[in-house]
Amino acid sequence: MARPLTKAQKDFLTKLIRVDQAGELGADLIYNGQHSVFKRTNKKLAPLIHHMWQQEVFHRQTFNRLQNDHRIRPSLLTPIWKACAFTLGASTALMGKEAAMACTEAVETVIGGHYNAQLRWLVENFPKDTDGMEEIKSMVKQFRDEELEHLDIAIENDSNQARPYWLLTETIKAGCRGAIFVAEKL
Amino acid sequence: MSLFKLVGSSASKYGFVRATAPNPGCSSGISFFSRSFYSAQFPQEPLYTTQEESILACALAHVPKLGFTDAALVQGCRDAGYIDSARMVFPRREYAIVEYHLNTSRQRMMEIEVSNLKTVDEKVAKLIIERILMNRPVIRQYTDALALMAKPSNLANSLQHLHKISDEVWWQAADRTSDFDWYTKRASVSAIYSAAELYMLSDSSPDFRDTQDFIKRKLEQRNEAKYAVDSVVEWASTNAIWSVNVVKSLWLRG
Repeated sequence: MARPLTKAQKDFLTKLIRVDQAGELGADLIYNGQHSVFKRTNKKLAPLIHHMWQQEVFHRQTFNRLQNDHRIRPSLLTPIWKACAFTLGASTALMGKEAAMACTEAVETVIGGHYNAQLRWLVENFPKDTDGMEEIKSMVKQFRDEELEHLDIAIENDSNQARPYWLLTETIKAGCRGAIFVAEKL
Repeated sequence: MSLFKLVGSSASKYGFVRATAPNPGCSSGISFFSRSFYSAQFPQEPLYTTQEESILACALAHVPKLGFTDAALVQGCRDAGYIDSARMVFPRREYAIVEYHLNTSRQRMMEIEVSNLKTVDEKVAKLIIERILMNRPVIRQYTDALALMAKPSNLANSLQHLHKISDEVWWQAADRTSDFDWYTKRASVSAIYSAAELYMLSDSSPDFRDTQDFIKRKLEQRNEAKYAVDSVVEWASTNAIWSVNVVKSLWLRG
């Protein structure tokens, strides 16, 4: 048996699972919103969105499992995250392919950085081969890589052609950071 | 008695209580909804030290006669082989016995056998009933316990205990959710449980049959309310889809 976790470690893991669960819920619904538009307007793009969407669904299921196994409450604002994420996905998709890709770029930039920061904390605060922690570490690493893959896909698909590019991406980035800040607490 | 209390409270105010190894059960940190990260791979911090545990267990044994009072705590100290003032390790005094009762009862909830029951509803009913029957040995004194729990300084802590009970109920009933109903489910069980506790105080039926029926009835009402809400949501969404289709067909016809 390992030693009991310290309060700081417990608090961090609680926050990590809650905020990442909310984040993946958001990602799932953003792609869901985009896909529900593109499957009508842009048949060529829909399979690509669908591929990314399915990865996010897997991420979300993983965090749902962790949230239940570790008896952590889901974010209190779950209904709000749902509504906001679907609206964001659907409305950027309605603005066109470039805007949708700019949205993906902005979201995945913030999420990639967020996962990276979490991974750094985990590596620093849990010695190698701590029971049960290697799973969480490798999972965060895998998810980060997949999110950054989505970022590359978005850039390859002309996200920077979106107009107004700067306004769109910076607004979404700020929104994501705000949502992360709130979801960690509530 | 009042002098007793005065001495006790000032002693705890001036740091007479142990500063190390805070007791999580008595922590005053108000984190109403938070249950910290739980993992079977890591041992949980024990709630009490062996000395605390022995004093409180002895004190609880005196509760049916002496009530949730300072006197019971004094007797507990004596029975456990300590001097009377050893009770100063419990800054919340009598409330410590109440909390001990809540903590040990919650731990005993893990032993309730529900795997033979099929539906979640049955499991929830059984868990609530079994838990409330754990109050039986101290039921004649339970009014005092409720009064102590409702004291402003203890209220946040007591609500946390209430939440832990309902969390335990859904956990043992193997109900897993990641949605907002995580909150509504726990809130409804907390409401039913606390109402049943009050009902039990004036229940004189054998084996507290009336209380058990009360709990079952309340759970049915909960399901009826849930069914009503679900039906309205379904009706609204069906109508929304219909109206979109009507608009579409009108538009296509020109």
